[in-house]
Formats: sequence, structure tokens, C-alpha cells
Amino acid sequence: MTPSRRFVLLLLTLGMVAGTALFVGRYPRPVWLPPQALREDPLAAQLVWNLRLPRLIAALLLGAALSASGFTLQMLFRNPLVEPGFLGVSQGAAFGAALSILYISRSALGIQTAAMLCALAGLALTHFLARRLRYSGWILRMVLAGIAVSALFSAGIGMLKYLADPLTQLPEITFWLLGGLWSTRWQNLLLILPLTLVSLTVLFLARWRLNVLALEEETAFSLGAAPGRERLVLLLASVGATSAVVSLAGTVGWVGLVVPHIARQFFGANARHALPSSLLLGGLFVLICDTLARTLSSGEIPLGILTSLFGAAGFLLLMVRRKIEVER
Amino acid sequence: MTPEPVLSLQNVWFAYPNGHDCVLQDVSFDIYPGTVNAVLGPNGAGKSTLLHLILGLYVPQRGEIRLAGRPLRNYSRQRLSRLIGLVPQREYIPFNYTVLDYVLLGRTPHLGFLQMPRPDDVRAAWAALERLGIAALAHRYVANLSGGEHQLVLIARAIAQETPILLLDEPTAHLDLGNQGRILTLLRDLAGQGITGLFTTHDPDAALAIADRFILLRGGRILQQGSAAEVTAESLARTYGTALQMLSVDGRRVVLLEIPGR
Repeated sequence: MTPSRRFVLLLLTLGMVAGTALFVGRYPRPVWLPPQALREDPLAAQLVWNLRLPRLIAALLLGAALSASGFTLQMLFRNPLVEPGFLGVSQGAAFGAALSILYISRSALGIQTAAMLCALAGLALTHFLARRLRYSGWILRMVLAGIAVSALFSAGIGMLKYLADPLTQLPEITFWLLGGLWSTRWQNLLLILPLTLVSLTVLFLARWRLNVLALEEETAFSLGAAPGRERLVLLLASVGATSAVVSLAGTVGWVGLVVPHIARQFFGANARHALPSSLLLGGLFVLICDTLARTLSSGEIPLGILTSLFGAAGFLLLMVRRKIEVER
Repeated sequence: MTPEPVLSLQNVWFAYPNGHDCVLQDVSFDIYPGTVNAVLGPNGAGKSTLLHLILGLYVPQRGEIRLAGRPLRNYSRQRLSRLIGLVPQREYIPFNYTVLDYVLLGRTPHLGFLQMPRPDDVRAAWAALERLGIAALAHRYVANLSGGEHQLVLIARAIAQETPILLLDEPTAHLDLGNQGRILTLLRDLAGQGITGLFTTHDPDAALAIADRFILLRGGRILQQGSAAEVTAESLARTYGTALQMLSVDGRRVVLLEIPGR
């Protein structure tokens, strides 16, 4: 099957799953809401159009953004083990959000801005540390520095949780750390939409260039690229997309690491096909996880738990089957 | 009347920003179209740095590099990448590209910033593969190639770039004799088709086999440059700091290392 046929198949699957997910849930009874209820039951219509639909779009965006950023970061750092969470970005965003909840603003805009700034700071700090480390190769140094920076931010988050008001602020912070989309409404979805869509569009359009930037410095240069400047633009777009969706959903792990590997399995390494399919696969993966999260039990299972569970299991499977090749 | 040099270095001095010593000191030479030029020298002589300067990756502190008579800095990045192609030493990529996709990357200078390769570019990539006789490798993965195949694929990518000048960094290093012969013959053929080649090498025999002109580097300075006939056992011995002889076999010269007691 050619990549374009596989892509169409993936698109159809995504459409079908999204259409089905809208009617899956626990109202009026588990698991299925009959479509005719939309006309007969005003509460059901309310539920579908104002809760489930924005949440479904948010899940698609979340998956697409995390996967596309993970894919881009893996190529830019020439390191298949990188994901937004590995570079201090996710923990930085969570720290920024907690900081904002405690001291700056509890509005969505305030949290989102603080999360994004701290996500960028996390990435910058990781990059800076990795350059200063005197140990082994670049890939390992980046991962080590990322672990250290993430740990620093985690410590900061711990401190903020300790200081937080246990009745008002602490639950909000805890939501961040588990990740989930239960608070999604149209208005906070619309708030993250511009940054997410602009960033994803940049990544999508620049996907051929991404191939060139994944080559060694001198080769990328000899092919006419300005590696430093172009990498920075794509880096900012990835972190922009990540911090936007994370500001809505909290830290949702493993999506950005695993989905790009699965995409490369089916569509090859060339970002021309693998990046768009990463977008779709990521959306599909998170949509399925989120539908399960709100359907499986009468309470809601935090989304981050499910993505980590399935993501880590999938990653182990790929590793054991030697589908992930890492040198150096 | 000698033709205009396609590339010329005039009194080039260069030191890395964080380094103390000058890696290249007062280097001057001219490269003429359709010739094969060999840069010889021991490890650390500044050979790779020289290639990076010609690519425009670094800018010399003193002196000037001119491309077709114009200073290198007057060229845009894209324009430059349509004139000079690079064949790096074995290149590591962490992702499993097919050979065709990998060679297609050579078309980047001919594409707009956000443009995808067009059917013409795919044809150019196939043509490059066929020219090197490796079209059969097109759908193999780059990571699974042998050293010789990998080197041929790197050259194919540079050929797909369709530049009049090719820089090659140690193109025959780590290759067996058969593949060395294939690459050297190819460089000679390309020169016959008007493509100017400049390659670095540790191996004087490879250079003596095909190069029109020699540049002998030691410690960042040019010890000697000239036509192949002007290279002597004495100049090579000084370049590498070891005793050697030069023999003539059927009109071709080869280098013989002197090992005391043998």
C-alpha cells in the first residue's frame, strides 16, 4: 500500500472514530447515546454540542500537537528518544501554570501565558546545560540535561503545592499534573486555537525542510539551509503548539514520544509523509484515550494516566521488537 | 591562455572562534573548471576546515575566497548551494530513510523554502542514482548499506544537487580497493563532464591516480602546490613527516613507505 493510500485510510478511520466518540459516554446510560436523542432530549443535545464536541476537538488538537512537536523535536535534535516532556518543556509548563495559579492569575489566559513562558525557559535551560556538560555525546547530554531540568521544575512544583491553598489552588495544580480534558468548554478551546493552529501549520508546511535540518550541520548548510535560524523557528513552533495544548490539558505524557515512532513504522522516515500522519495518529490516539477516560468508570480517569499506560506499553513493544534504532 | 579560475583563495587566515591557533595560515590557490584537485595533508592539517570555508560555513578572518570572480559573501545561501555541493564523510542519520528519499534531499537548493519536490526533482534523483549505477538501491534503507554503497549514495545526493563544483571530504577513506577504484574513476569521469572536483585525502596514491593539481597542507600552511608532475617524494615526505619513495610503474607514480629494517 502506498503512503497516500495509507494516509487516506488513516483519515477515514479518524473520521469514523470521531463520529462514534461523540455518541459514546455515560449519558443517558453507558455506553451509547442514540443519535435521535439529539432531537428529542434537549439535555442530550446540550451535552453533545457544548461538552462533548469541544472536548473531542481538544483531544484531537492535543494529540496532534504533542505528536507533531515530538516528531519535530526528534528530527531537530537528531534523537529518536526526545519528546517535549524529556526536554523540560512539559514540567516547565506545569511549573508556570502552578506559579500563575498561586501568584499571578487564575484566568485561562494568565495560566496559558505563564505555562508557555516557563516551557520555553525549560527548553532553553536544557539546551544551555547540555552544551556545558562534559560527558558523552550530544544525544545523551540532551536527555540528561532534560531529566535534570525536569527534576528542578518538579521540585519547584512540589514547593508550590506545599504553599498552595488546599481548598482552591491545590486541586487546580493537581489537575495539571494528572492531565485531562474535563474542563474543556468552547471558550477555553477557542483561547488556545490560534497558537495551536499557527504552530501546527508552520510545522506542516516546513516538513520537507525538517528532513534537511535532521542532517548533519555541514550538509544542511551545503544544501542551502540556515540551520541555526531555521531550527529555532521550528523549535519555537513545536514548543508553542505543546505549551498551548498543555495549558488546556495539563501534562499528558508519552504521546509525543511514541506516536512519531508508530508513524515512521507505517509511513517511513521522510517527514513529508511521516509528519502529517503523526498529526492524525496522535489525534486518534488521544481521542481514543480520552473517550475511554470519560466512559470507563462513573468517575473520570485522568487522561495522563491512560496515555502513559498505553504509550509506555507501546514503546516497550517497539523496543522489544527492535523497531527503534538508536546509535551513539 | 589559461581560463578564469572557478574558485580562488587569496591569503586566507582562519582560526575557530574558541580556538587559540590559526587553523589555516596564508592559504592561497586557484581551482580551474573541469579539473580534479586533491588536498593532501596529515591529520589536523586543516583539510576539513578548508572545505568548510569554501562552503561558507565559516568566514575567514583575513583574506578572501572568490567564486567565479565574485567574493563568496556576495552569494546568497541558496545561490551558493546551487554552485557548490558537498560529499561529507560517512554521515550518521538517526532515522531510516530510503536511498531515494535521501538522494532527493539533494534537490533542496532548487526548491522554494516550503516547496515539496516536484516530479522533475524525483527524475533528477533517479538520474543521479543511475549515473552511479546504484538505481537498484533506491528502495533500500540508508542504514543498511555497506560503506561503499553509502559513499556512492552520498555522491549521488551531491550529483542530484547539480552543482558545477563538488567538494568531497575523504571520499575513499574506509573503503575497500574495489570501491576506491569506483569512486576515483567516477571523479575523473565527472571532471570530463565539466564538474570541478576538490577532494581531501590521506592517501597520496588516490590523489596521484586522478588529480590534476595538488595542494599539500601541513600545520595549516601550504607546503607545496602545483600540477601532479611537480609533486615529488621529497615534498610528500615533508608533508607527512615520514620517509618515503616514489616509484614509477607503467608511467604512473606510486608512493612507497620506507620502513626501517624491511
